Amino acid sequence: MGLNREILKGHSQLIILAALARRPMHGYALSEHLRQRMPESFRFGVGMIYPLLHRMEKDKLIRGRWQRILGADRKVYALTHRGQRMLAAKKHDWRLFSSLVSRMIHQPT
Amino acid sequence: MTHNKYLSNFEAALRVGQPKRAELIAELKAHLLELGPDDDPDQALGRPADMATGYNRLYLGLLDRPWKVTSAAILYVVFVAVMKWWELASFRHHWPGWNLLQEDDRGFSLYLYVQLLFPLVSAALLGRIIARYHQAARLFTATWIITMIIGATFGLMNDLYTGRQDIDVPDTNSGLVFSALFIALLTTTMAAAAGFVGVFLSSWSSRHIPNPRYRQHLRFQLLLAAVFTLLLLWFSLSFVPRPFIRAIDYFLNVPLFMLIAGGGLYCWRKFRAIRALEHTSSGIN
Repeated sequence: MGLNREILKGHSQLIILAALARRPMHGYALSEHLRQRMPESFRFGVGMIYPLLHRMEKDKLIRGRWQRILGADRKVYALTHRGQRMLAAKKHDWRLFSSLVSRMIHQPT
Repeated sequence: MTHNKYLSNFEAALRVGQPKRAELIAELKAHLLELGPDDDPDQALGRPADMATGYNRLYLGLLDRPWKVTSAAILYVVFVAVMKWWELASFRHHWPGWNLLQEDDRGFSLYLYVQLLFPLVSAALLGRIIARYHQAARLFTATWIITMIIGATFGLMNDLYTGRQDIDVPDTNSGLVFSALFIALLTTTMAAAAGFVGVFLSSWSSRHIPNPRYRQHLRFQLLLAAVFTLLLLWFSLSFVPRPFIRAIDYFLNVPLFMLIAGGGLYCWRKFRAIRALEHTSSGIN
């Protein structure tokens, strides 16, 4: 069964921030990184990643720089200081939220 | 779908202007180069129109689709037309002999037409500039400043004109112009401030909504709500006694200045986004 896409959209920023915290990546590398680590039912479209990256760049969470890689120009994205702070805050929120929901749904009747 | 076909469909749906447009296309081209010639980009990336829509929404905001600009323009015309009709009915009720088409009211009649057309023309021009010359930050600022100056001068002239005609002070009284000027400045400032506050509140209240589509919808709805609230306010004020009719007249400038202030704020935000873009995206012509 596929996951509700709205749930995924709600956490897509956290997922991308976490991926870019490992190392700076361009769009294609990021999509491959996510594809390898996420089960098929849990994936969001690659076409959605690019506008999201630009949104995050506009919000100064990440910074994109054009670099020549293997003979071709690529826009490589890296976390800014604000992005690092946002990632830490979102991780904290996520831990709190998931533990709360887990406790609620697994509570014995 | 071939890579070229995918790219041309994407370009057709993309409304964002230069140089951001070139950057978005270059980024997509770089991604397509990574795919094998037999890979279907439709499968790998999703529909090109969807991706373009995401960018349009992000970079053009409320102007991402032509129907929004058109519907806003139609609503504005209806709004001003209803207000003018109500104003004329109110004038005729209080002064039965008054007639808009009298010889000495030509200026006022001309003003009615210009007030209807001016915001539409400026909004259309601003929209075109924002969409076509995405990089021309100075042009946005210049357009905004010129629009504000024209709007303010126009509003002031109108207020002085209607003030000279309608304020219950004898024409020979030297204090008349000062009173009209004072009221004009006060109402103009209030109207501009109301516009800024309206746009600021709509942006502020939607800032935490993660989905851009819902954020834009909320902003659009809040702006519409602000316009209709003003309409209701104006209608309700029309029922107060005669001396207050003068004050009501000055509310007519509120939608005009709301539009100008909104356009200015929008241009300013674009300007800041472009400045940020100029710093980050070197290497693309």
